[in-house]
Amino acid sequence: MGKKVMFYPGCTLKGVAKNLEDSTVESARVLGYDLVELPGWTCCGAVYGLAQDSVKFTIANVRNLIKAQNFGKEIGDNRLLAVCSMCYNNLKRAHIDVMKNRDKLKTLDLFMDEEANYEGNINVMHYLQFLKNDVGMDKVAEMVKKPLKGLKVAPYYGCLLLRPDEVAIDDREDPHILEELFEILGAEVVDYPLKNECCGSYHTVDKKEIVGERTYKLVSVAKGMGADVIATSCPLCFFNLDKRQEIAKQKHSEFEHMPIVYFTQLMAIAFGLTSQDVLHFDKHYISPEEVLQKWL
Amino acid sequence: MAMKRIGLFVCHCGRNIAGTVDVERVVKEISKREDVAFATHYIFMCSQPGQQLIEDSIKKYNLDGVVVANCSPTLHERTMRNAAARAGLNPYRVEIANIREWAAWPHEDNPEAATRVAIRIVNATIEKLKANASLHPLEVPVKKRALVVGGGVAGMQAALDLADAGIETVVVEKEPSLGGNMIRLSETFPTLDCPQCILTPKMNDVGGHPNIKLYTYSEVEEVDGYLGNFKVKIKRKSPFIDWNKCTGCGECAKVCPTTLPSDFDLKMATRKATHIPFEQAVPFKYTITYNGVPPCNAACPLHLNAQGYVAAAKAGRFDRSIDVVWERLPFAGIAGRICTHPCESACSRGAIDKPVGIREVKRFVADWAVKNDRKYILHVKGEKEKSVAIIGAGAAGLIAAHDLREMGYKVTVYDKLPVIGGMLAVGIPPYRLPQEVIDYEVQPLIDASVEFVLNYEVNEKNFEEIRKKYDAVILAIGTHKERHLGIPGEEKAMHALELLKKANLGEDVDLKGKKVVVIGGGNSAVDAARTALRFGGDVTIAYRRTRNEMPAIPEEIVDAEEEGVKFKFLVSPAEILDGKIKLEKMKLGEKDASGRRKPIPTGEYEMMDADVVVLAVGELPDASWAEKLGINVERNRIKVNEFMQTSLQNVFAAGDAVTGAWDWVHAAAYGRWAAKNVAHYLEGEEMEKVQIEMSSNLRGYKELAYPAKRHETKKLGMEERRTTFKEFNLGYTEEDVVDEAKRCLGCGGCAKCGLCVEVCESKAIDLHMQDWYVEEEVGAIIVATGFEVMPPEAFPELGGKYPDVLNALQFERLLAPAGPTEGIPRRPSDGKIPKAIAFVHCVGSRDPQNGVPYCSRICCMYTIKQAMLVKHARPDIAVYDFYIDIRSNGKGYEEFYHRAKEEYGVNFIRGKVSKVYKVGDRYRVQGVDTLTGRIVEVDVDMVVLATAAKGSSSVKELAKKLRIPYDEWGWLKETHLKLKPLETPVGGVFIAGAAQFVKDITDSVSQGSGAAAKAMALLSKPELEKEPLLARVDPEICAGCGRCKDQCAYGAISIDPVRHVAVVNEALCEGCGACSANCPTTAIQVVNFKKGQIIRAVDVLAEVF
Amino acid sequence: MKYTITKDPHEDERVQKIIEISGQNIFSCYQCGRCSSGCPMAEFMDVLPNQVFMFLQEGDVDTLLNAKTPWICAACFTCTVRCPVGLDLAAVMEAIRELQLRKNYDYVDPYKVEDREELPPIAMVSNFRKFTP
Repeated sequence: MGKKVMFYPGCTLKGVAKNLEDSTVESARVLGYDLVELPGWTCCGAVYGLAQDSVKFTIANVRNLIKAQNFGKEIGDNRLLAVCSMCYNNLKRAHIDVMKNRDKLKTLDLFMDEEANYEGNINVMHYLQFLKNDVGMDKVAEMVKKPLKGLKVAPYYGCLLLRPDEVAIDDREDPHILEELFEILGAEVVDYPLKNECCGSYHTVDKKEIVGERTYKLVSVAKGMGADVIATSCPLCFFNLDKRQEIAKQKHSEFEHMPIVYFTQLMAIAFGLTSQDVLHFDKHYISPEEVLQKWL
Repeated sequence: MAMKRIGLFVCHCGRNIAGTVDVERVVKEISKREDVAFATHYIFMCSQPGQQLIEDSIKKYNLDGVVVANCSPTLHERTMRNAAARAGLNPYRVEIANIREWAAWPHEDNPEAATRVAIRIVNATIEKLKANASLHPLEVPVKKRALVVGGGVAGMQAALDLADAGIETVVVEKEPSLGGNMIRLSETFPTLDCPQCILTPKMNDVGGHPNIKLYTYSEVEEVDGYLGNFKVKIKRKSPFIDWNKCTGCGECAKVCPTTLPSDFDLKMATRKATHIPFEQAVPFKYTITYNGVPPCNAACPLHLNAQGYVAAAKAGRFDRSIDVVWERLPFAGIAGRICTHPCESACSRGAIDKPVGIREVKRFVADWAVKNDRKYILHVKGEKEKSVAIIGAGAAGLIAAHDLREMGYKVTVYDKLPVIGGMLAVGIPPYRLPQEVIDYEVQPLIDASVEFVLNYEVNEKNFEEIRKKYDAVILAIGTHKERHLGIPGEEKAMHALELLKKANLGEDVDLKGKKVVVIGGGNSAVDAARTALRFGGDVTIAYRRTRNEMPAIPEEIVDAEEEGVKFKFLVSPAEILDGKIKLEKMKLGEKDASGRRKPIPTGEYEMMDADVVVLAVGELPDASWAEKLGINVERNRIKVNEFMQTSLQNVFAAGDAVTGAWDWVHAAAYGRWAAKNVAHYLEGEEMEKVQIEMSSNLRGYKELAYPAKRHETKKLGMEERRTTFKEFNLGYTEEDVVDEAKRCLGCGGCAKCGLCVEVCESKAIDLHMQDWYVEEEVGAIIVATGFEVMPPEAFPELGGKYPDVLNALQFERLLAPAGPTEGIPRRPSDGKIPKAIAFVHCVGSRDPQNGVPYCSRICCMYTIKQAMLVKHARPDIAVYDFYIDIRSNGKGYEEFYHRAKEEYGVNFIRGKVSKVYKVGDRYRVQGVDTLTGRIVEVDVDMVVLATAAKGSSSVKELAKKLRIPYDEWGWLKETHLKLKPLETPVGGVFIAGAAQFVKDITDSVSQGSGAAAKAMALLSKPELEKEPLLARVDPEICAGCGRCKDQCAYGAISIDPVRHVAVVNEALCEGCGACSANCPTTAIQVVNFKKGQIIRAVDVLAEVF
Repeated sequence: MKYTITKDPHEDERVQKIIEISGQNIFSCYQCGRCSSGCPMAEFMDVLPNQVFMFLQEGDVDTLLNAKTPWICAACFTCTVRCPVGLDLAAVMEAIRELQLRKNYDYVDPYKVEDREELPPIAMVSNFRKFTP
């Protein structure tokens, strides 16, 4: 049994991003941590409300933080891990927002009929921060069994791990945390200039073509730099970059497909966890199997 | 005596005051006071008739105090006080009530409130004034000399103006040459003169002026004193060349093997470690850049100058290289073969690929010396009477013998072995270190009369005799006793030392076809295994941890493997049986104190065939006899104090016998320290604490990394390696050693290899030169330290990390006719002439969120200039200029901008670039045209960023020394932005040029002249008048606690040691009042700002109406 | 193309409402254009982000309410973090959308979304939160 740490999976990991959830939980297990799902968690709301005169997009997050507060006391650890970029961003922003604006927290407390008030001591962390700051990259390096030697990876952060500034897990213009991880896993990192650019996000619902164009640009530049895969942490980025290659191909006949993976899948593979129960390649539109064959 | 006949004069300041404040009512209200004898108002008090009104009224009404209610005292206090003085009233009996800034302007929308506030301010001022004393200005003498800090255009202008006016002027410049940023420029806007033409005459004038004393490569270290009488301590950084002798011939640079990025060219070119920054430099003297002790040298326990001998080898000067080794160590061949090379572990090149093969370079030059018959000679520096015995002729003993003999002592070395070298001779197998090498390198010691007594074992029987015979003894007996495991059957095993000794002394051991298991993971295990292999054995090393934890030198593990030694990890011997060994399986646990993961027994066992088991599990010193003689011993090791001295006074000890089995270089290092302290002891001097460790933060010039992999040495053929004891490593070839040496990143700057010293005909070079200090006395100081621009690396989103994305100052160098590309822009990455260049304005400027809030003022013009110069040099280069606003507000500037647009074909696009990234070989600039409302993308080959300007990075330190204020961006603060732009709050200290805020050349020169004029005005008087508004101490009340002294920023207060009260130096005091605010007893107060005055004024101000 | 300013834009109620909802002083924009040049969506917009601020500074809210731009913004915050004067442009875009959404306006009809089963839940949740009241 590893050390218990609270884990907030979020809706998407429970379905289309099962590959993200299992590779996260299992890679953490190798590192000696038991990611325990936060009991009774609810949706994070996906995007944080930006209107100053409304608290409606903050309620659910604060409720989740209160749940973490209770459960954290039970297991004696105040860290709440998220791996989905949107979940991380929302929970973290909500925490910062109510800690900065105590009036807002007071208003929100009025909505919490049964729950205790939020005390403000939950440490919301992205899994990457946890790896770097708490686990230590040395420890990760120790667990690498199959170095991904020869695999060219384009790290892709997207928006929500880096922006706005208050939630950034690394330098927002030139982040290196994924690069550091992939180098430790033995992979060759591509200096991917679009690593912090938006994929088109929720426009994938009603303006697929725009997202198709973004995907076209993001994937072709990575391809042009010689990358074999793009690795990300966000299930929405993943979906857009993976699935919307279909539209990119329809519009641009010269477009070449490229598989998209989660950084946690690469960790799992390097740790020797190659079972499909962990990797779930069936969740990929463009299968990474061929590119990763050497290490599977 | 409180004043009783005060006059009030209310000024209308046109409509500024009277438009809001009811001046009639103010006069009427104040007139009611008994202490006011006269009150009136007038449209402009500062005008001639206004002043006359005050003068006349003072006389007419016999006023004993005056309040003028007008604007800020910084504007007209002096005017009014002078008027009063003309009428015979002491000027310090005049006070200003600031009803413009405090009442009229802030309450513009509420005249009633403004009027009431004005009345209150006047009342408060009267309360303060009433207790004012009549004062007279102080007079202080003046030193008629000036100091200018900064040798850029502003500083030079100031210095020349002062010098021409007959004032002796000291110029301090931190760089080796005058010129500042301006001399870096290609051409200057808007006239397009080149600084080489217009600035060098000034530089030469400064350099040759009879009234100018020039200190370049110097910094202000300390400033003492005050207005008219400053004492300045100046640090002269060592150029390692005596400038009085240097002729500027440049022979040193020709032979210098060390290349560094040119700081003058902002890394756009390289230069030698000894250099003149540019052709027209003043003074025209060479400077050697030395950054400090490089990591290799620092890591070496003997502190050999590794970078030095590598540098000389790089130049192919193996003779010099071996000399550099010999400066610190006669045993180059031994060290070159078997040293565990801490130098390489610390080598900065290791962070890029692999460390430089420092040890093999040394080995090469040692062998080269043998081949070329260059011998090391031990020069005895004067014979001494005293004698020293050294017990043990190993690593520690040999170096101690050498050093002591060099110092002149008579030295005798005893050893129980039949050969010289100790463990070097019998512990290290001959295929790694042949005995001939040891003998060859010991010969100079024998030639210098070091006596060796071999086959002589020192023990409890004969030690006392030796101790009596010699003045001091060094025990360097090494570790010749084997450690035992304590397992059943151990007596059947052979010990590594035994096997190695036999091999070394030429005895044969028949292991042909036998299965040999060597237990251990250290160097002696690997040595024993390889030796057993050479005797014909089938050898396996069994180690209880894994390969990663093996303490043996990694490359030797590889060598062993190549030769056919097998490895078995995670096993520990449990019992030795006939023909077999029982091994317990281990697993790795947590890290132990050594940082390696601990082996943990699993309780599972396995058997392994073993005809011969060799134990290599460690060696111990055999110090039992020493213990019997009363020498303290701990855990089998001889105990020494921090001077390497044992518990017996004249007995010292060193090497493995003290530290436990370690390596040659550490044993030698401790041996050297023992010798040093023996000498101190014999001379009756104080001994020095042993200090082996040294650190270095230098990391070398990665951008200059010579692109080559670490060179491998030649090895003996495998067959011979496996079957003979011939030396297996043949070292580098001559070409390889030069190429390998080129891989050095030159961390220390100058490597001190000494090649330049050889060629300097005027004997000007002194590689041991230290920084030194000079003191100058001056009456005024002008600070003209200039500006810096932000580095491109600060803007990763704009591609700052790419080699072809430069800041504008770097690009100036590429456009300069005398620059690295001779004025034709070329890409630093590949030297190609670009087809298209993008310029980006406002990078970091006007960006309070990510850079600086201000406009950097010069960028628009220099960017336009650079764009024009590019088009002038190569009209076929397309130029895209991304601007936000073009700010061309100077004489001839707007016209210059239009020329760029109309005549030169520069493309101007209005909109800030957001991202620059590499696409293939080119750079994609992602911009916008805000005028047409379109996103604009363009691919170019180079990008020039007009990065924000900041004050010089060292200015904050200087400002603290001068006690002058600066802002967070490093700009020096003037006393008044508009009216006193050259003055600082510290009397006698002036600022000029871009040190105050970034400005163009025109303005910098004007300010230089302006500051010089200010200084001249000050220095033209034999004595200076000083405001008498100073702190005064009431010695009756003062308790001498010293809190005021701690608060004083001007160092004006001291505590009289006899009377135990604070004393104020009136010449230094600026009257700021910090002392008074901190005095617990009100003993120290500022004249005319006494506590009672201020409290009464505040009471009136705070009164609620 | 002509626009007549009829009253001081600083006094315009809808401009004030946008300032209130977004918490941003839209008048601090000095038109450097960095928001637009860095915007990944700019090529799909009809009014560039920097122009949005000029329209607001001129009091022309109507043009913005009829523009596509606020609905193309993906709230990626690239402009927000790079804005030299620290304006949260994403919040201003949200405020413009809010002016419409608070009139009970549906920009997206959830029932008409295609491939609902394959879309990640976060895609739909975020889309509906931005585009429905």
